[in-house]
Amino acid sequence: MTRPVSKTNLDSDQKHDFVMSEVSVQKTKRGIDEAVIRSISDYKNEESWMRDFRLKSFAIFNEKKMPTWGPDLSHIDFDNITYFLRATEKQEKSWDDLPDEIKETYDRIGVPEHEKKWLAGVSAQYESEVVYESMHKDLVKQGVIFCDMDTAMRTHTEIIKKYFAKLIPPTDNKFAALNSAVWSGGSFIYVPKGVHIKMPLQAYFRINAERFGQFERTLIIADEDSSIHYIEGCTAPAYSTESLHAAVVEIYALKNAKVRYTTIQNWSTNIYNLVTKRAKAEENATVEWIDCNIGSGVTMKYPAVLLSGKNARGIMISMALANKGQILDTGAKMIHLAKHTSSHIISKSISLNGGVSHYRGLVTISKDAKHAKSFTQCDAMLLDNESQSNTYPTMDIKNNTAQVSHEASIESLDHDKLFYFMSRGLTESHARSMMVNGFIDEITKEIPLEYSVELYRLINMEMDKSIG
Amino acid sequence: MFQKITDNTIHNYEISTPGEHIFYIANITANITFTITTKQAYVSVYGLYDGAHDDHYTLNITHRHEAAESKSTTLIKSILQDRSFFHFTGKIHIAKEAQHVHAELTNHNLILSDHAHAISMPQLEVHPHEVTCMHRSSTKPLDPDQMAYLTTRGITETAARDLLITAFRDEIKKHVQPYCI
Repeated sequence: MTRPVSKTNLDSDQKHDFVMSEVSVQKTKRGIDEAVIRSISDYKNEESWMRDFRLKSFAIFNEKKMPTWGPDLSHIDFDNITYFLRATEKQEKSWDDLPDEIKETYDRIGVPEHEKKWLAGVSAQYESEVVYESMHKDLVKQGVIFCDMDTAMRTHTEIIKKYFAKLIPPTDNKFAALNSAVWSGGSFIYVPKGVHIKMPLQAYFRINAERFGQFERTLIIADEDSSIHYIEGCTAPAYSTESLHAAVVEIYALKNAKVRYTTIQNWSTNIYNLVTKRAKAEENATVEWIDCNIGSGVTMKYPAVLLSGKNARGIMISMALANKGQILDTGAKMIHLAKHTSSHIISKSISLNGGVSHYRGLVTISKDAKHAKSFTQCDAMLLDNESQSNTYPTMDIKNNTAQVSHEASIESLDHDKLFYFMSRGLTESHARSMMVNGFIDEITKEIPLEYSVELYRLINMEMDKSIG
Repeated sequence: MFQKITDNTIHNYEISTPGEHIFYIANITANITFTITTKQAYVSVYGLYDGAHDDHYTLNITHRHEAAESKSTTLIKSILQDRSFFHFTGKIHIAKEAQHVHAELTNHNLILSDHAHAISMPQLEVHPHEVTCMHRSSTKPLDPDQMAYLTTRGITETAARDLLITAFRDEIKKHVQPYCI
């Protein structure tokens, strides 16, 4: 039976997977040693404390062993990766001033178009550094800071020194240490007291070069009574060689603040996506991670919330679609440290065509977290016999007033529903896509409409691959 | 078939005959693996832990479904008082060829003391897609609403507490009582 291919799918398929010729004005040699780290620091003209921090982190990276659990990372060749590549001389405020290759990249992805319509600010990182940045003037007047981390390091040094690497020190894990040693780019956001940013701020991360490592660092500080929604999107063209994305994201939600951090990860399957994300929620603060993982060859990502103030709230809503050759090892950590804190984790994963998805979660209720509440719901869908789904949650409860519960289930596509759809004239591919989209409906309704439409298209495309 | 597992040690059971196999575990530290190698085998595991003083229990249960159309149900409950500690790991592993398996694992912990400590790690490893597989876990104190209901009916707080603990325990007892207690 021939399968009709919709134009939408073709559009989406080609949208992110294209290669532009490499542009670089500064680039370190392949591999990593102290000289490479000193070069990165020199290129950025950094103060000595940051150079020392990088060198100490590199020593920690060398000492730390690779994780002994989770997906196989033995194919990462640290000596064959370029750790820093500067694509433009300076950051631009207008899309027209960008080099043609970069401008065309973002035009094809549709970033400028989105910015005009519904974003409060945009930052675009190409390879190692942010090449474009803009923010609504109203927000500037209100004292909101939205810039790349390199700029923030020069212009807001005191605030950076107070928060940088405090939630995720280089000693946290091997890839956090690597990021701390070679970090470049990423976003810095400070939302002043009482300011509510109604439209999302977006950062767009693109890897274009081959055998490349992107190591951005993002730091978000939402001051008391403020709120912000930050969205990051990630894409790269597919190469046959491996690239590495090892980001570090630190979020501080101060008293009564609310931070929502949305990720739409659609890296190509040659990317190892090994990211450390952690947030601290103070009194009455809320941190929400919305995490959509569609791309990458291997992902290891477990966003955490330290619920350190009373009534703090942590929410994690994640979905993973693991297709052929992909291992998506994702999860969440909720660490309850204060009374009346609450957390809610919803995780949905779909494995197809031999893809492997893991959920790995941790809920810790400390002795002081009286009357804490936590609920985890973890649903997985297996679409064929070649795929795999694993669930590894841990709940550690240390007081007698907390209420912690967890539910997980693994299911296949319901044949009766499939039969129903097909008897109404839908193709098998379309029917399966509709059922998968229904399965993750709880996630898609949480993200902005433009992204949920894109997510819907991406899922249709992935489902088409599985049938074809 | 009914069996009470009483030794603090490593146990490996191969379930190679169809039919119902019931196991009961109480207050032991053990590492138990059930490997189901035949169709139509139904394994039920019930565990009840009463932790008091400085009791420290670790229970690891693994169900390996290697045959299609097999079934397992696991229900482990703990009541933790004083400084007691219960660490439960329960894994359901379904091999690729074991289609149409139904597996359920449940762990409920009742924490009655501020110094008690529970760790619950229910795990699923599923390869085939035509299966129904789930786990659930909860760790809670006595339900304050249920306590309020009973005490407003004239039952003393101590009696209400005992009643609720007995009810919690009874869910296990009703399954194993016909065989052993």
